[in-house]
Amino acid sequence: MTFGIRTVGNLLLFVVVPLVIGIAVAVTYIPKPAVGLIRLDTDIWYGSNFLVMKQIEEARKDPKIQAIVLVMDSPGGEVVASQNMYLELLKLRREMPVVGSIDNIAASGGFYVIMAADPIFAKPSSDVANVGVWSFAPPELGVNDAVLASGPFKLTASNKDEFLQSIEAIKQEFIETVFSQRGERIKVERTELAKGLLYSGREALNMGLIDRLGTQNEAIELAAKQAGLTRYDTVDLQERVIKKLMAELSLEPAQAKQAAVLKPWVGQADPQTGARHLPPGIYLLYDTWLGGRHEK
Amino acid sequence: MKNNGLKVLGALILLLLPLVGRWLWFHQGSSYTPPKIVELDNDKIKAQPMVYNPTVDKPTKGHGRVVIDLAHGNNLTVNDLTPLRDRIEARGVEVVTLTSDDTLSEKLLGATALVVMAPSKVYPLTERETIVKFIKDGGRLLMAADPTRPVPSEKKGTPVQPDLLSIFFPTSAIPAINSLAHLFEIVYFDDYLYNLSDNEGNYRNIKFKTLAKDNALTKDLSEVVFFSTHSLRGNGINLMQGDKNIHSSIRTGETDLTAAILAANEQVLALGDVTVLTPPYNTVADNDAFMSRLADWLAVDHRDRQLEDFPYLFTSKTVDMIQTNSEELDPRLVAHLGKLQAVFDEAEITVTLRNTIEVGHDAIYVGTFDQVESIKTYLDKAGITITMELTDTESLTKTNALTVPTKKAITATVTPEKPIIKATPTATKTTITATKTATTTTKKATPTKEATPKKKSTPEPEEQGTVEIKGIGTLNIAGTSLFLVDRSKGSVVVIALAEDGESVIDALDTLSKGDLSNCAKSENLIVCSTGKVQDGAGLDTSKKKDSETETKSKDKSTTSKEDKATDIFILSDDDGEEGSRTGAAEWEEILSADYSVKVWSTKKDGLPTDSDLAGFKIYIIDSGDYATSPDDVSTILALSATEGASGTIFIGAQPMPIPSSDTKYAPLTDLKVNDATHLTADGFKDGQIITLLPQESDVPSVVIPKPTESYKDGTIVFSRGPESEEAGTPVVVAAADKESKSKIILATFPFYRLPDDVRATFGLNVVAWLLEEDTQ
Repeated sequence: MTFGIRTVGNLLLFVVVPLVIGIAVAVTYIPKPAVGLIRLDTDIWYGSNFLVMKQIEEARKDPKIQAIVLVMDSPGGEVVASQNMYLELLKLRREMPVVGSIDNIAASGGFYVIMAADPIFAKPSSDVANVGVWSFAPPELGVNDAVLASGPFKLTASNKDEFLQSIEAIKQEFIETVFSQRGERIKVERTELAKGLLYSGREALNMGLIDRLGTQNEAIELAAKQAGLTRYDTVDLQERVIKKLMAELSLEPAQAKQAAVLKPWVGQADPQTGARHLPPGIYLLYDTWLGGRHEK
Repeated sequence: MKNNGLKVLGALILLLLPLVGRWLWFHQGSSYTPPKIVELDNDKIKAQPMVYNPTVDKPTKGHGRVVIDLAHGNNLTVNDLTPLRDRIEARGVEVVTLTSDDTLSEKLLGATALVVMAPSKVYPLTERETIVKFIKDGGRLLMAADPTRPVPSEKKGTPVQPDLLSIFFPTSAIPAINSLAHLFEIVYFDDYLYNLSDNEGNYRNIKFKTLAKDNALTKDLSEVVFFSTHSLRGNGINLMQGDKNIHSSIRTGETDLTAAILAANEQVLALGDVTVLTPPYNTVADNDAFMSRLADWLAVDHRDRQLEDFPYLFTSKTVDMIQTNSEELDPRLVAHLGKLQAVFDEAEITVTLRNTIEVGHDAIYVGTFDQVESIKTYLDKAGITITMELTDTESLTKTNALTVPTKKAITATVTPEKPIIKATPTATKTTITATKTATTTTKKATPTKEATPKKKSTPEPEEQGTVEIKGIGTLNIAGTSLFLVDRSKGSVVVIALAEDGESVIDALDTLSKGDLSNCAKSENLIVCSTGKVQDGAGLDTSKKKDSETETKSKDKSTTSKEDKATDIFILSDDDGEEGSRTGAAEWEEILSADYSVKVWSTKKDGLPTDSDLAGFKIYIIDSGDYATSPDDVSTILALSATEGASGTIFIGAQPMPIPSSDTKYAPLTDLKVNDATHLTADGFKDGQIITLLPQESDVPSVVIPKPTESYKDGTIVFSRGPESEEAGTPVVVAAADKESKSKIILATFPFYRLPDDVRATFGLNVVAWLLEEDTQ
């Protein structure tokens, strides 16, 4: 049996070339998928919101990212920033699985944000919930002839009564968000949640506020499974975003933590050690002086 | 052709094979199905606004005078109480404010109710006693405190930059309100109530629907809303009680909590919230109606007024002042009337000088003991007999036969079963004590027709006399002033008698100032005296004239009684941390009966100046269980430079101002008598162990080392007892400097820790030794 030139030519043309092209196309267009880690590990404010938005954007742009694990370690912060992250992650969940993994704490705004993830993992002793909102009462300004305004609340934007209602409405929005996302899994009354207590991971599991006690790796595995992945990489999207930002800002990595955009909110978390000096309730959601939603 | 088609198909398959293989390598074959995202129901997100329900007040005529206390660091603004104030005034009741410049006891003289809102300073003992007496006399007390009104921060923030530390970590004002509430068996808990199920717009706005049905304050009201309230507990009527959904912030699980209690025979009302009385929250639910009930409750006058409440004991707004000897008005009385009117103006009373009482008027009769004919009826009714004697050198013998003493004295007998004369608030036993103001003892009484006429001869005869009070005893008129009230004829008649005209004026001053702390009092009678006692009279009747020769007696009572003018300066060095106290009150209680005592609080009065310190014989520097402060140095130096002083005692856990770096400190449990021969240990036995009462702070006592150069000539009178650390080291060291004739005692324990009986003995011993002229 001999191979003629014609035969060799046919082999090359109909076997080798298609195979090589197929392999090249497969490698190019079917990259190894990945589970992206979106991290929220500071107080919630403009900076942390910006960083999370960048991570979500990165997840959408990268075709390899086919599932997300939201790694949560936040005591909360501003209302609007929390709601923004929640809504954007909820939107992302329409595109790919978003699984939550609570490290130390998902309190208040942090808990609000992680309601966009499903299912939610936590450690047995993680701090979870602290549902509610607080703020400083608006100043009560007198009417005078030196400062004239178009309406009774133009200067203060509110009064104590109105403000209290606003606080109550935000609390109700929070509670209803929890109930809508947890659905029939929740085993606790609204009044219990309204207390604003911080529960351990195990208590939260019993109350139906989270789904499982487990590690971040378990959360990654579950996210991959939800996305139908058998072999995948894990991508730290926060690290990737920070590197890009540093490059844009021409900063050395060592300067990263000093960058204003990455500094924690004024909630007193030590940027070096991460230690927090105030109880979680102090970090909560809403603050008019520090960029709250009523500020114009 | 067919072959070519197969080849192309094969090539395509080979081309797709890696794609499919790679995809299958990474994926399970299933894809992600997005979940259904549930939208929120807008209707569920709607906060309930508060419903305001202002009601029209329908005031009825009330009586009395309400004092609002703003002198105890009250955490509220003047405007906060405007609604309540307006309602009280609408009932025709005067509302006055107690500020830090006022004295509570003086303000309460004419008051019928006291309002205490959100105090942050603890009420001192004297004020607590005043308030208890006020309630006992029929006054009413409305007190309220709430958890949003802690001790005001000294660091004032601004709306732009608040003091977050004090906002988040406030200092509770609970001790302040409880210092009052405890007196009436009520306790405020340092908590707040919350209700997450049914509230007025917020968890801490509590609706009380279980209200006392048969009490006028809450009858027919359906709902009162408190805005952050403490829970209370006490013996009384629970006016407002929470339900199963109202919880305490600190006592998880407890329900049926109370926020309003009416106690002390319904004279004391305690509320757990202040905000309920402030605008606009006073108009939520039935709060406005409740406030009107409060105003009604405050606008009553059930005060049982006594002479101490002068001039508020008068029921008429016109008082006639009548001189008992109406023949000729004393010009001094006329001159003094203007001064008195100022006091009466406070009570909105007009005083008019008259010679007889007008119908429907109240009256003050003033006169001397020898001019009592016109008021004999009143005196007889009160069981008072006045005996006047004209004495001179020759008639002295006769007088002696008729009256008890020849020297001016006070004698009194108190019926043990039912004392008519009550003790002063600070005294522990029923006593008659001397007044400081009626000082004239040598003036001659003006004779009346009934008395023996004056003789023009020399020496001029002196009138001696006695006042005999039924059930009490007999007093010499010298240095004595007497006040009597009579209400038997539908009007209030006050009688003021003294030895002579000048003393009467002084006595009126005493009465109008209300400074009767050193007088003996009963319901309708007050007796004051200069207290000048001579040997052989009063309590000293067993002593004979030859006692004058006993110059070196160690009898402390003799020493003190013979020198009642002795002034003692008690420096209460109490400007330190909270939780500590001095023994100044105990010193005052023990010594004020026998000595003229001035108490100076460094916290209240600051450090005394040289002029403040001048003229006293004994200085008691009591630092109690406060840690020493370098600020005290100037005081100590000033004291050491004070001339004419007999001696000083420094007493306290750390009595000296600047301990050296070698100073040791150790807890002190007991004392041991080291030298019972020393006058300061008179009445004790050598080796006697005295167990000290518990200390109120954890400041350890200074350990005085064994004899050192600084007090080698001193006597170690007491030492640390066997149960104390550093047992055997000195605790009380007494030293006298023969050259300067000054004495000093150093005592390293808080005076208040001595048991009551030991404390009195030791205190009097100390003063006796410091006054003794020749010791050591």
